[in-house]
Parts: sequence; structure tokens; C-alpha cells
Amino acid sequence: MFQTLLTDLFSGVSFLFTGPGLKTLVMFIIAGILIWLAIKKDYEPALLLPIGFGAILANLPPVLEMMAPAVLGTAEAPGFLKVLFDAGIANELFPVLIFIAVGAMIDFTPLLKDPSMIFFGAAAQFGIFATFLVSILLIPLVVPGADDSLVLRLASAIGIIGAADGPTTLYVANHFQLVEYMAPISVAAYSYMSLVPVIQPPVIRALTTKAERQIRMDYHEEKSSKTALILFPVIVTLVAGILVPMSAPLVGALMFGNLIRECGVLERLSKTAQNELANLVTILLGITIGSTMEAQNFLRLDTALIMLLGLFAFVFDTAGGVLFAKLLNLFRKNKVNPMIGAAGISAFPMSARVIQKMAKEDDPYNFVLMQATSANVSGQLGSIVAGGMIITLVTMLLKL
Amino acid sequence: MSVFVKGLIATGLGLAGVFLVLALFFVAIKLLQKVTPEGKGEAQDG
Repeated sequence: MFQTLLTDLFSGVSFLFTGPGLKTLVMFIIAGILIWLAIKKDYEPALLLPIGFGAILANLPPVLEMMAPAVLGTAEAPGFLKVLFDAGIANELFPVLIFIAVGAMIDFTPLLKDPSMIFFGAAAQFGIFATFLVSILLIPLVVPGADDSLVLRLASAIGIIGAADGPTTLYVANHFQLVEYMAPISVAAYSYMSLVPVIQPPVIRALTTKAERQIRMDYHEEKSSKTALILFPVIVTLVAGILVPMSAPLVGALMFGNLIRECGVLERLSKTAQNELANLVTILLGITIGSTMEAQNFLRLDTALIMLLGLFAFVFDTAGGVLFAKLLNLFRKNKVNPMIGAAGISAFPMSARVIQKMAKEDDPYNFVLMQATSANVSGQLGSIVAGGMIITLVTMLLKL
Repeated sequence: MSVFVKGLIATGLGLAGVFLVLALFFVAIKLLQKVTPEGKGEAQDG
């Protein structure tokens, strides 16, 4: 009896020496790497640290009575991280709330000054669709028995990773009920978002010459009319909501946040959205995503495929934007610095800052931040529209 | 219809759709520039 009591009391220790226990140790190492990247390398610490810690919590040895980690619990008695998942991820609430906060942070003035930059936000979605096609070919090889429906749904979510837009990726994955793949998809989306300064520069350098990177672009510091700044979020919501209804929750939340910012009479709400709301949801979102990284769901071959294809999508989105800019330069009198095209992804404002930093490396007096910011906010819009389009089209095609 | 053909259709229409919607945003901004030129509306503070 005493031996049984001891065994039960230290079941967590003995668990670590079993097969699943060894997988748990591997997950602790992965979680440690994420936390290390957050603290030591300063890669999106607000996201990677909660994700890493959530992964540790979700992989703690199971409680004997429920055969699951206490933070996750069971269907009858869910733990706090399962409660958060059901409340914020499974019903798409957290991504939408994050977009209200992001909308309140975005200043569309540079885009309203130079609207031609908006097309980079479309061109940089090329990687999403290229990866979608490649995924359709590769998924059946790695996920045996995957039917057409799973292939198309999973390929959609993998493709969207390339937009470097975590909330939209979660939105698409949720819509297609890819619960089993949520961990690798969300971890890939948020990890690659944080690795923008690592992933984008080599791709841009490979596709451009130094002379191209030194191209200077005119920008006149002018203020937009307040009326235009107020009307813009309303018009965008109406156009996107009518043409691509599936994008309405995300674009609506983004533009609602922006309208709060620009209306001029809700400064307190605007600041709350930019700070308290953004911080609170980021904390909850990160740790909840981390909690999906249970060893049995994460240490699989399809996780490697999703991570690899996610990287592919990210690289091709960057390349799509750069090549589109080079194509435009064939016809434009005033040349565009092709690096601006790479800022057409959604990682705002990190991508724009990376482009400005690269521009300064080749020419200390080159200032392209405003144009890059315009492309970057356009990428935010483009990735939401692309997410809505892919949901709409794949849902329709699945019925054929 | 094979799953790859469905993928091709989604890719073509998807990319075209993204460009179309963003082109409409472009037109909307151009119209806003005409309707509310600088100095006509109240200037933005930040």
C-alpha cells in the first residue's frame, strides 16, 4: 500500500521515463528554444514567450485521475487553458479582438498619400496561393488517407501562413475546423512573423541588385484630410464586406479599431484598444496557442511539413512582392525601390522597419519607411481579403 | 474534377479577387483625394 501511495505521489517523475514522457522532454526543449528566442534574441517576445510557456504547461505530466495535464483537464472538467481555447480560439474571438487593437494602431495616412502602394499588398499574397497549390500535391504524401476535403482545407490554412498574419491564419484554420493541426499552423504563423528580420533580408538580397536597393523614392510630408481618414475604414468595410463576406469579421474589426483611432472623439477608447486590449489579448492568445502544442499533436511528420510549407509560403510572399515591383519598374518612369514590394506582407510594422533598415545599409540617406509602411498596411488588408477569398472559394469548390 | 484542378481554380480566382478588391480600395482612395483634398477637411493631428 505504501509503495502504491509513493508511486502515485511521484507519478509525474515516473511518467518522464516512459515513451510519452520522453516526447514531453522534447517539447520542453522546443518550448525552451521559443522562450530563448523571445528573451535573448528579442524575436516577438510578447508572442513567443507566452507560446513557449503555454507549451511547457500543456506538456506537464498528466494528473492520474484525469489522464491529462491539469491545465488542460478533460471535457467534463476543463483546465484553464482549455477554457481559454474554447472561449477565444475555437470561436475566433481572440483574432478578431487583436484586429481591433491592430486597427487602432494603424495610420493609413501614407497609403492615402500614395495609394499606388496598395497593389504591393495584393502582389505579396502570391506566396499564399503558390503554397496552397504545392500543399495540395504534398499533403496526400505525408497524411495518408487524407480525403479531398482535408487536403483543400489544410492547404488553405498552410498557404495563409505566408501572409505573416497570425489572426487571419487562425481564422482560416478555425473556419475549416482543423483542430488537430491548430498547433503547428499557429506556431508556424507566429514564429515566422517573429522571424521577419531573419527570413526577409536574404530573399530580398537574392532578388535585387545593390543599385536597385539604392533607388530613392519621393515622399512629401503632408497631412491627410480628417474626413478622408474617417471615411476610409467605412468604405473598406463596405467594399470588402459586400464582395468577400467571409472577410467581414476580420476587416470589420480592423476598420472598427481604425475608426476609433481616427474619429477624434474616442481618444480614451483608442488608447485602450492600442494598449490594454492589445496586451491582454496577446497574453491570452499566446499562452493558449502554446497550450495546443501537446507532444502527441506536435511531434508528427505533418508538423514538419506544415512548418516547411509555411516557410515556403513566407519566402514566396516576399519574393512575389519584390518581383512585382521589378515588373512595375519596367513600365514606370519613377522607379520603385523593389524592396518595398516585400513589405506587402502583413507583419506590421516589422516588415516596413526591416525594409528601411536594409535601405539604410546600402544608402545611409535613403528614406523609404513611408512607402514601406504604405505597402505594409496594404498587406494587412490584402491578407485579410486573401483569407476571405480562400475560405469562400474552397467552401464552394468542396461542394462540387 | 480533381483536387489539383480545384486548387488551380481557387488560385486563379483568389489572386484575381485580391487584386480586384484592392484595386477598388485604390479607386476609393483616389475618389477620397478628389472629394476631400488637403486643407479642405480638418488636418490630422498625428
